[in-house]
Amino acid sequence: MTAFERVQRTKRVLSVIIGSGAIFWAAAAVFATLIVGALLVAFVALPAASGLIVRLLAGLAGIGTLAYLLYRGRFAWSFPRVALWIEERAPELRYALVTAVDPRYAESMGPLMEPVVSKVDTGPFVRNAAVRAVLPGLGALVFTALIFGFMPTRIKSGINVGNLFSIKPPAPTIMGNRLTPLDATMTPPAYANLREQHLKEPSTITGLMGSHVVIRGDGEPDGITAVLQANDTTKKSVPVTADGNGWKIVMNFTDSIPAALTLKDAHPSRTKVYERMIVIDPRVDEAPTAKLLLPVRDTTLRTITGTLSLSADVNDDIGIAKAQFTYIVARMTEEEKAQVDSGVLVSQNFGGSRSGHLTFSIPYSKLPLAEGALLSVRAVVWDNNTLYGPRIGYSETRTIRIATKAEYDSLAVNPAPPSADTAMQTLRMLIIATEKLDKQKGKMERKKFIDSSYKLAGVAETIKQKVQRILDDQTGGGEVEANPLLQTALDAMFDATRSLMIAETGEAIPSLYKAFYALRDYSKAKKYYLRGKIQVEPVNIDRVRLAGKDSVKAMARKARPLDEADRTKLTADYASAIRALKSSPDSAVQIMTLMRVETLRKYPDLANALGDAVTAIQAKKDPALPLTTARQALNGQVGTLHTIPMWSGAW
Amino acid sequence: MVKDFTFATAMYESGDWESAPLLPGCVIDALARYTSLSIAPMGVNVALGSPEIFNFPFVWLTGHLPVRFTDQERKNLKQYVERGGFMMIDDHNHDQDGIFHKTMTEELTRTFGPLKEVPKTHELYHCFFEFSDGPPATVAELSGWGDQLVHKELHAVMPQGDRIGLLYSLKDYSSEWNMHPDTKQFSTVDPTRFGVNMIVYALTR
Repeated sequence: MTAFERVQRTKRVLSVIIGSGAIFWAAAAVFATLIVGALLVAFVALPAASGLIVRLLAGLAGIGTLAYLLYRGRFAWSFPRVALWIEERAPELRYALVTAVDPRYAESMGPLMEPVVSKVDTGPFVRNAAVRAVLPGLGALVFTALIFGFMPTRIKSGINVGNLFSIKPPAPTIMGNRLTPLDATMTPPAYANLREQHLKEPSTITGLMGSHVVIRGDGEPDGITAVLQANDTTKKSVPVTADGNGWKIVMNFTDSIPAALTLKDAHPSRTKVYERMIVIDPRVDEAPTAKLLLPVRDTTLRTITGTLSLSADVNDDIGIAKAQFTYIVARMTEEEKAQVDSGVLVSQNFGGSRSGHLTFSIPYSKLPLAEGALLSVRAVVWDNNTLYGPRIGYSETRTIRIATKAEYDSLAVNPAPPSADTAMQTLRMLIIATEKLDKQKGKMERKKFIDSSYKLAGVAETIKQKVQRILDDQTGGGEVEANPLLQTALDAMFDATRSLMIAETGEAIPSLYKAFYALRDYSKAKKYYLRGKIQVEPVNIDRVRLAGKDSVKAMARKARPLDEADRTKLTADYASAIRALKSSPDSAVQIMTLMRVETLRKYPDLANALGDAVTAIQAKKDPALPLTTARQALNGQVGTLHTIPMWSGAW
Repeated sequence: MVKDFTFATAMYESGDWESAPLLPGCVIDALARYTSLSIAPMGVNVALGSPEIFNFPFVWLTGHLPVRFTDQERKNLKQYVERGGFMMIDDHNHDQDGIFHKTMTEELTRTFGPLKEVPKTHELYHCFFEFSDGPPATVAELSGWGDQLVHKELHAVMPQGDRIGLLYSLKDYSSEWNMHPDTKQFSTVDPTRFGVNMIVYALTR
């Protein structure tokens, strides 16, 4: 290596060493400025833009330090200065190196100087220079960086450290209540196809389950906490994050239980703590409903003919996805086993509309029906809740029975027997005619009287035959015992007919009345519809009383909590709120908000009144009326005393 | 005036409510053997849709076939349970895929919401006889009939706290207890003991 090359290499190394040292010191200066600036911003009341100023100052400090150090080490860029720097550290060279690299003497003296120059090792000088120039800067950088790194975020946030090189100013430091004003944006779940809602200063946020809610406020997020409390025991912290120049909370309505969101503003630079509560009121998507319009009622078919017409109205609070008519055909087989067929008759999509109409017709012959079968049909409707559904609604079920030929309740399917009622109508007229004729006995010509009575006997004979037919139908042609009322009527009609045939109207009348009353009682008799044979087995209680042999081990009864227990607690809470109303309205609002959360589902009237009261207090209006309504809702119905109360002496 | 306890079987318009005719006598016999309750020697059948249902603190309902309550039946059932009655509904098919179970649970869910599981620590299992393992298994379950499952728990509607207003069983006690009371003498342990617990619970809790 020639002397020229040796100096050239040392120059390069020194440049790097001086440059690195300058960069390290410059970075350390930046961190040091940031540390000082952050401390000032955090603990001294400075203007809102002070964070930006600190960042600018830090940049200037870094650039200045870099420039200064580079200027101070500028000899490293000069070839002769580097040669002299080596000569200075190796006196044994006796300017041999300077002479060897001087262009004026290099050509003539260079070769003579090379042996002297080559004996000197420049490595130790350079290493010493590197240690002195780089290590202090590196140490300062590590030190300041560590201090800055371990600095609390709430202090660093004052200079917007997360956005160090941004020209955008940090969130303004608000020394007052950062919990007002508040804005909330409630985005319903996509399936609901509802509009986004924007709420100003919300005290309650109501939305469908699955909604996305963002609550925004002004100021930096430091010191703001949010806790969601569903009941006395369950508390969940909600993260508060920066949002442009403010803060925000993002929540999803995942639960159906109302909850209180407690926001707390406890800024580290202040002693005053602000608190605000918001009622979170998630609403559940209701199940859709179906109302079956056709068939109107259950019925029995004797034969499998005709058409089954179905019609239903379907409704939902959000939107209907589809609706179907479904059927079940059930029948008992000969082996006494239930055989069931089921299926869908028709399915229709409603594309999210809130109401619709479903109709369908099918011949009975196309259904898997048989004698004795029970056909059950109903409408089923699904809503379009894709988030935690779908929810399903069912209509009433109509049952259509197919009669069997051999079933014992044949009254329903066989031709009806002659009605006892029509026999009674005719009989009543016969009695009136007979009584009229009897009154004319002796006044009327005898032959004419006999002819008239004979005619009435003919009518009586017709009625007698009608009763006989009813009796035959009832007894199955004499196989079972006759109904005694029908038998009485038949016997009486026999007597009346005979008396009228021989013109003994006076004797006929009592028999006609007897038959009439018997038929009337028969027609009024209760008709029973027996579905099956119930084998009633009376137990001989006395024989078996306390004769059991198995050992009994009964546990003691436990007292059941009173159903009104929650109302008692609410009454106590209400009293606390009223006590706190004058001295600390915020506390009263807090108590009433928590009460509201508890009562939203069970006592909605009370919850509404409490909500009105909270709104009135916050608006600094008179809350007397909603508070009175709340007290009335809390106490329930006004009671009445059944005794005269003792005189109180008050009047 | 003290009125005898009367075992009531619910009649409903659909299905076959009368499928276990010997069961009332069998349970009445067990009640007489182990308790000093004043009991009517015969059960009665009462229409679920009639107001007479409210005269009976305990009502048994069973069947094999699809069940669709009428509006009045559903209204009465809801009122009966919410006003302190005890309705025992038993699937006579002992079959989770059975049509009675499917249709009945649909009806109950529609009327009351989802049924709750009855924990083994519930008073029902300890109020008279001790059933520390929960509801006793039935022959139908142990024989692998129906869904071939031994159902470990019963489900219920609990309208107030843990008080059972409606007990739903897939265990088929309707087959287990549908026998002449004297037949029980051939059993090592009286199979109707759990029926006593149900009625004691219904009358005292």
